[in-house]
Amino acid sequence: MAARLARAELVAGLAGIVGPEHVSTSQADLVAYSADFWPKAQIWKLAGDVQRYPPDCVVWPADEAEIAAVLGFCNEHNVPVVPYGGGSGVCGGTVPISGGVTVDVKRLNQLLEVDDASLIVRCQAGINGQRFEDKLNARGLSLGHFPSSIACSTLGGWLAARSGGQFSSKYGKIEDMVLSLRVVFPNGDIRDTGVRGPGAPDWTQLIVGSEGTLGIITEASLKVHPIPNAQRLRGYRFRNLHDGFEGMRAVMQSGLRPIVVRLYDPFDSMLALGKQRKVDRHGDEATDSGGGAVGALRRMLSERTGPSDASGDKSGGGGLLSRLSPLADSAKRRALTTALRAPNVLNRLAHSAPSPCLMIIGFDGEPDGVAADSWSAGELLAEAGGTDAGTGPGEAWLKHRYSVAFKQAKMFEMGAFVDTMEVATTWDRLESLYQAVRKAVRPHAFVMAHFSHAYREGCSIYFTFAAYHSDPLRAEQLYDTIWNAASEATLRAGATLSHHHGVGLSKRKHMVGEHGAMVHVWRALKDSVDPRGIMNPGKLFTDESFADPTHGATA
Amino acid sequence: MARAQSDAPLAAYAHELTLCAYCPSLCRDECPVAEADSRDTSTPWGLMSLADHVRRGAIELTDDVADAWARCVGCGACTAACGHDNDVTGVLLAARSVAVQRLGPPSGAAFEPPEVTERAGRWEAQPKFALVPGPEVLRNAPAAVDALFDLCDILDEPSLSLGPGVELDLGYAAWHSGDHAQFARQAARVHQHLNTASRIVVMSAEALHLLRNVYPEFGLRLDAEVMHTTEFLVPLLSGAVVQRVSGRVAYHDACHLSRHLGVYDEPRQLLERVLTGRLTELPKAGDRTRCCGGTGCAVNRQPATAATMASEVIALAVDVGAETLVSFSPECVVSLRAAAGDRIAVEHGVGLIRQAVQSTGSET
Amino acid sequence: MTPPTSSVQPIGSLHELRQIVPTEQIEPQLDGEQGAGGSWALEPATQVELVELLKWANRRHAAVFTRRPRRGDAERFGRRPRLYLRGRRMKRVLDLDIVSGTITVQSGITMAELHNTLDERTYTTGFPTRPWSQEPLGAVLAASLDAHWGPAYGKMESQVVGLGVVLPNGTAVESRVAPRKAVGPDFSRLFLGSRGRFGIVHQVTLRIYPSAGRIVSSFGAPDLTTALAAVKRGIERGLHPRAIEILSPTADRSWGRKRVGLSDALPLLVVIEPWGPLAGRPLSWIDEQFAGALTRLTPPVGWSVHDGLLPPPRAWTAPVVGMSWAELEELGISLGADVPAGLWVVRMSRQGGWLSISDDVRGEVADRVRARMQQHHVARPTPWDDVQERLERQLDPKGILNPGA
Ligand SMILES: Cc1cc2nc3c(=O)[nH]c(=O)nc-3n(C[C@H](O)[C@H](O)[C@H](O)COP(=O)(O)OP(=O)(O)OC[C@H]3O[C@@H](n4cnc5c(N)ncnc54)[C@H](O)[C@@H]3O)c2cc1C
Ligand code: SF4
Ligand code: SF4
Repeated sequence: MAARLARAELVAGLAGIVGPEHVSTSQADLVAYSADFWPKAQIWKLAGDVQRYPPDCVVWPADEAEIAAVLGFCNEHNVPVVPYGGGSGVCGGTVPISGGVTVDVKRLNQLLEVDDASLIVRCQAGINGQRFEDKLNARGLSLGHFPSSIACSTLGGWLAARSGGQFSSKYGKIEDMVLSLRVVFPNGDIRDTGVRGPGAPDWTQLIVGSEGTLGIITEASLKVHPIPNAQRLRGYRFRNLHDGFEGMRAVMQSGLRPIVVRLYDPFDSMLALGKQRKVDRHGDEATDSGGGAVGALRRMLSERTGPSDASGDKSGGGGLLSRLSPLADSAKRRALTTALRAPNVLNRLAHSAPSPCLMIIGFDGEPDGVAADSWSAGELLAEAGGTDAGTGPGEAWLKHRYSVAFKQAKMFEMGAFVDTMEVATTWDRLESLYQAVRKAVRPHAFVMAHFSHAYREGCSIYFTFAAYHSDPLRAEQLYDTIWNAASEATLRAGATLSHHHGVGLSKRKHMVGEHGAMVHVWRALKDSVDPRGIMNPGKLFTDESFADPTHGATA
Repeated sequence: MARAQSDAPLAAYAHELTLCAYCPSLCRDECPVAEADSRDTSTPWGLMSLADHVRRGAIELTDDVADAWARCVGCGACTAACGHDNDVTGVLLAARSVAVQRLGPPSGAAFEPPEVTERAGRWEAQPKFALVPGPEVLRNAPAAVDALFDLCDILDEPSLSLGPGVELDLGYAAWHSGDHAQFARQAARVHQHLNTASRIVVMSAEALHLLRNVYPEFGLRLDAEVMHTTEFLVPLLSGAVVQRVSGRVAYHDACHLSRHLGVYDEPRQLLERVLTGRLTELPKAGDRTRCCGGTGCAVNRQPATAATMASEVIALAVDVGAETLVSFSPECVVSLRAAAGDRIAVEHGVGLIRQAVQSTGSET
Repeated sequence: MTPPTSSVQPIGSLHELRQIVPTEQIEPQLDGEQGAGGSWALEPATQVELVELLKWANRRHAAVFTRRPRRGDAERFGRRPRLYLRGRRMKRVLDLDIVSGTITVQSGITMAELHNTLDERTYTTGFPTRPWSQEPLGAVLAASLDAHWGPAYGKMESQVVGLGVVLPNGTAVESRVAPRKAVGPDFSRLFLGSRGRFGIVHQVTLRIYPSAGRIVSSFGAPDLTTALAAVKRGIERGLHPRAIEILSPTADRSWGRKRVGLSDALPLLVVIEPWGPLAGRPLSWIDEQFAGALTRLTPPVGWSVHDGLLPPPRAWTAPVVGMSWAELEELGISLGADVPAGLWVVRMSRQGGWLSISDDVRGEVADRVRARMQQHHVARPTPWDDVQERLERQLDPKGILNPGA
């Protein structure tokens, strides 16, 4: 790359496009935009390194034309560009590892068009997810996309990272909802994927998931739905995971379309069920009052100790605080961090609990259809060995489904870290995938899982792992060790490394393993639209991915 | 990068700051300022993170950090959405006060209160029952004062009156921006004037918050019973003859009134009393209300952001099909009215009630 | 880039090709002119053979076609060896995964063969059953898609969960099969609908569905607006069928029209096929829902109805255009009580459907339909042409695969 522009020239050039008030090089902004919610960046932060990779500047363009001009300018001067939505990505996708210009698209936040007859809306990419859903709700519509990050992510980020919401089993992931989109390429060209000539591939699906490495998505047309008149969730208990899988599979393949099916592994079930069960058989005092490391961990990670309920009742929030605050006690904290230092033992303790596996399944739509579908699903699940656990677990989940993310800060406050990994595969490989990843991670971190996002041909597994190291540098190494072990196990099991979080920096070095020789297609695509490589450099694939064309050829 | 000293005054908030700094910005959509200016720096997460970094000495406290903190309007929406009930408003107030101590008071023209003249003959040298309209009313919405006094006349409440000192700036801007020395001086003056009253009716929600909650923190508790216009009107209106007003009316909760002071019911009772139809609720109401930018120092410091915030609230009202949007906070009325254009009518609640309450006639 | 001339004589090429595929899989094409690079039809049977053929083609600057020879090829590419690939020997079913509900086949299998194979096990694909039954799956996916199924709604492409492709330079690429992914763009989509420009699809993994309950409900409607309103209401009330079609028979199919119970007062047929016994709504529900607004036809017609009502798929050369629901409704209003013969709205979803009208139907009403379809015509050059050309140059710098397409 040619020598970079001096920062002053860069800022002057950009200010000429977006106006000086929409370009910033202030310390406050550079710090805020130097990372996303990649847990590794949180580890840096824990160590006091709060801006390892600041951008050179941040711009907030007002519209597509300004974005095109910004990209054209950066392309001309070989300045890296990092598209930025909500910054809620958990893979480092917006970390400006090469500096350059971070382009925050959030000023493009208008719902442009609602076609009630066709149930299609056109919306700008920078809109906040919850605000988008609110706007649709005001018109009696819903997108049906409910990622746990809905409050802090954007439509553009969803599209760029192939986001999946909690109701994906019925409504699909964002790539199933999008009909077409508009994208600005680095040379400033604006293209609409809705214009598909004869002999053309579906460009929508080639841009969706590109994580800002091809261009900036400015708007999208999406399918929407009338807000359903009824919704019903139920819990089922299974003796073991295997039966649960079979139940899930039976339901999905019968043609029923639940909004959600989630199956928790034994430890995760305990959290979800909120059972204050004595888990200890090995001297660890995990009692109802929650002493001991496993008890503390359980309460720490439990979905049920959620905050305010969905209707906005604050009393739950206060309750949460009082329930959790004892955890900040140095004794508890020590117990937990000590336990996390011996993850193998902790895993053994936690999973030795004789807990059934909980499943939550729900339907929405017209009341009579919902009733009929729930009944049919119940039959299939009973056949697979499930016992009805009533509406309680489902409703509890629904109420607290966004609250688990609040737990993370608590873990970091203790100096520990948590991350999640959502892999996916077809039904035939699901169980072995689960075992393989657990086995790989067990020595390094506490690990638990649930199975969500079920589809006709397969399902995703959502692993949560927690680990601790007192030395930040070693913590970072530990973090890498966990990811390497888990990623390799996943790929060996024939599964995909990500179902909805994307790649960013965290998984890029495994992308050759994931895609094999398909990286050539990627290279060609990238060179066709971004020959200078200014778009989000270093994300999705490392440059080494292309060094050896035969490396990692298809398994 | 030079490392600053870790910051002792902020150390008291380590827990709150850590919660936000490691939170994935889960209240982001609720922060009206960040939503309006599209900056992640302005989110509760962004502002609290900066404070946490300053606390830990990871970054220096510079003007632009202070400037970011000043963007928060103190609406409290983040806390309401937060799973930890994290007191962002309070912590950022402390952060701003640290910034003022360290970097000096923020720039901005001092507010010159307008002269208060006698209104409707209601002026006393030492009112026992004082009306404190607040600066915004006097400057921009004096009609509300007249309407209130009209109501008092009709409903036979002769003792409420203006008096010397009621025009004084209660010090909200100084307090909010963290200039607490200035605020304390101003508050002492106000206290001196108002402490002779035994009852005080306050029109501004911010003023009410100051008098009820903040003055006491600064050792300036008033002996008087301090009430909001709505609290004052509820009993007064109970026996009144009203000619109900028709039309689809929505109510906008002022942040200070609803979230900080818990005054939800009185405004609704009043409006239900004077409307023919049911009061229309906004999707953001009660303790989930959305700030219209009339509070904090947004109107002066970040006018464009404040205007967007107001416009967002107008859009909420338009989306629910309201024809009139009512607030009992003069600050809200002014900012909403400026943003409404011809999309919707914006009324001060007192004005609406005044319309409905007749000196003669029967209830319908 | 100047295309190098073939450095070997045809006979030399043949010799080299024989090293790659058995002789019986090579058939000389007799259109070669004197001094030409030679022309062969080849029937590779495996991915390895394909890879080697393409590598050879790159070395020899041959032209590789995934179509039949055309008049003029010799003239255009005369100095280059020409290979015409056939899928005949690539018809194997590689994996039928009943647990996951997927099938992996070689791309040379025809739609009819594929459906027969699945039928035996009471499965089917999510593809329309009848059109192009004699076409190989690879051709349907690579070439015909856009022509028949338009851009936007309920794509046939989404039935594909995995692809094996050989790139023009002979690199074999394969996508990892998973229900959904978030590991970058869906690269396999590049090869669907792009008519073999970017690579040769040799292996496909598709979703399969139980084929039980292939029953349809059929109704007559007086006009398009009424038919659309009924379908819309049905979907909104929870109908999630395998297929909904609205069609009017072509003029020369009057016998078929009478047979299914259509008349001048009920010119439009609405066909609804639910999924399985547990999907969406049962047949009885459909009957109840639709009988109010439309007229139930008895006895119900089966899918073979197309035979009797529309020209056979192969004769269907008219464009098929994706329309949003709003546009369909507008069309309905503009048609009013008029219903042109040979109208066909297929694969309807709540967002819209594909509209087509048979070529041989004349008249003002039909032209009104065509005018609306014309609004969707994508003029050349399309906005994506330059990107696609750049991409083609990246993947096929020597212009080996389907040159001049
Ligand atoms: C608590 C929490 C819960 C989460 N839960 C879920 C979940 O349930 N489901 C899920 O799918 N994800 C989840 N995520 C991950 C994250 O929210 C998603 O990846 C989301 O799609 C990111 O959106 P964003 O707007 O924040 O994008 P960012 O983080 O800003 O960006 C993500 C990537 O997309 C690129 N990008 C952003 N906007 C554009 C644009 N307009 N054009 C081109 N490129 C762009 C960026 O360069 C970056 O590479 C969760 C994250 C958190 C922190
Ligand atoms: S206030 Fe609560 S939700 Fe908002 S950033 Fe802080 S911890 Fe997160
Ligand atoms: S108090 Fe209001 S303005 Fe301030 S950070 Fe919280 S939500 Fe934003």
